[in-house]
Amino acid sequence: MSFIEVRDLCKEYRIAKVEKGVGGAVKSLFHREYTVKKAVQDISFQIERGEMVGYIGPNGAGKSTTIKMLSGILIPTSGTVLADGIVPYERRRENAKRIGVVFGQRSQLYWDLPVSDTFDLYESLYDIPHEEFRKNRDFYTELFEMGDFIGQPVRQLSLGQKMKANIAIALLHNPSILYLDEPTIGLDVMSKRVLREAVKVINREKGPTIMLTTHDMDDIEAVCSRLILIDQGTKLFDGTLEDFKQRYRKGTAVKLEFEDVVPQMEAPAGYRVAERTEHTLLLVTEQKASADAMIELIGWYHPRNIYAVEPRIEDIVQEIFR
Amino acid sequence: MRRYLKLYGIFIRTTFRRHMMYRSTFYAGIVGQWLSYGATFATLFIMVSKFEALKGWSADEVLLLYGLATLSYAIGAAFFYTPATDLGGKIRSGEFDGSLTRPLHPFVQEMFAGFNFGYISHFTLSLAVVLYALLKLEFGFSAGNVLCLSVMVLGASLVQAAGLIAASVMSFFTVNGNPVLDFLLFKVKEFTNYPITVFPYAIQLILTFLLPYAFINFYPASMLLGKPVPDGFPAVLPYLTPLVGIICFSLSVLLWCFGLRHYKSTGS
Repeated sequence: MSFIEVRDLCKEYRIAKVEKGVGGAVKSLFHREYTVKKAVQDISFQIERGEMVGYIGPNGAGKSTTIKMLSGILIPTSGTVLADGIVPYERRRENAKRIGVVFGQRSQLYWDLPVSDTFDLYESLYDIPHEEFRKNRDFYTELFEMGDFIGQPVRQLSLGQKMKANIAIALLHNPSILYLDEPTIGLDVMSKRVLREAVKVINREKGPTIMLTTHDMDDIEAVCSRLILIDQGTKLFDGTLEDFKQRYRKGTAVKLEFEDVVPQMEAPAGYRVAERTEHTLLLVTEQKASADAMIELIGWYHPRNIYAVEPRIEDIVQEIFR
Repeated sequence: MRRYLKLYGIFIRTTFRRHMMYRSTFYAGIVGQWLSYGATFATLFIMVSKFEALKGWSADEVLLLYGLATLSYAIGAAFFYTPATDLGGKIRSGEFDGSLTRPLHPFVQEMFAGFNFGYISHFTLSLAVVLYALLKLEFGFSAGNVLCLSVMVLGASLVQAAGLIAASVMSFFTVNGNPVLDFLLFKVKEFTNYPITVFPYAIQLILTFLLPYAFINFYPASMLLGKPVPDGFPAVLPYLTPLVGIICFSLSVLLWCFGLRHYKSTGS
């Protein structure tokens, strides 16, 4: 039995159809037709204790719906979830003590009070033994460098500071599972990097199983060893990052560096320019092996340096949903 | 139980600290409520004293009715106004999801987090009115009578709380509020500004057995003042106020839990 077991999970919503125009609106007052939207369809997976899993897919793929069923917020239409030995939506209060949830779009902090007030409230709310609370508070204050803003009202904090505090709060009671739903949304590159490092440290030091949804594939690449990809409610891929690249990588990417500005010339047939800066050019080709591509491109462009580039998950995912 | 009381205390302290962040707004709110409710009390008093007795109820007695309704509302609303009226918005914004991932029952969570200090103004003003009316009516403030008054007010407050909670349950089913329900729960309550004996029999029945708002003030007042119940009604009714309060409150909480089972979170 795995730590988290998800079997044949389905969630359907009934959505009222409203026809166009005023007539349609009036008609819908008396008679309504419903369409059933399948947000999640027959998704199954297992996660072992301590794993860090990235859960990705385009908007509306069913990521948040899955997380909501796993964290006990929503009741599935069919299928089962077992997380740390319990069915989350049936035993919500017990489940709450075992999980930490962070929704990137929402804050759990009191907007008008300092972060430390919310910390103190959570100590009582989760009935955390004082010694443990103190240890965790100090640990996360140091990890997220919250020392200089923990006493400030939340409304004065930056988005990054708020996200740090939200993650810290979700972990004060030492949950065995941490759900992070788009934790890096809207953050700058620096804050993202700090958060990713922190999440890795948390997993190493405190050992919670982490499930992360995000649109930023760099998050996944930095943090997760495993990836689950879904689209339109169904699972497309489940495996390691390496397997993912193997499976979906098409062709090769080659990066060229120029001493002067990049020459203004057409790419040779069969190549596509993926990225262009002042001195560099990233070319992607679908048919050729990297050695052949490099020889051909040297002849074409005469660059100063040339590298074969490992494709980024970001580019692969973009390719899948193009 | 002790853990819960302690926890509620900490929630209330946190809420108080939030209010105190905006001290002037807070005080201005209290004064504003005093003025607005004070004006209502005054007009009502002037009106009733001009017309004299209303179906055997004097001006002071009608003032007591109004005072009891406001006092019980102040108590019920201090605990349940915010949880009830914020529920729809919280569901729409998705904030309610948070309540489902806490180690408290969502109802308790909402109640604990939603204590409203603003009702201190209603409470103080209506308590003063009730005491003034009772003094004028030569109500003996013996220990027994004070206990009786407290129990009646508590029962009435539970009926008020039940109304607020029941009205909020619609938020689980429709995105916007329901005007029919608002009418039943809030507008109908305006009948309680007058002794129900002035209304036709059918309305007396409704206010006693269907939407028991008569237990907010009419029955408690009849008990305190020794007034008769409407013709043909059981004489025991005034004594049932606490029981009616407990029943209404329990039903409304059950209704809320029923609504919760229909909860569908919003997207994202």
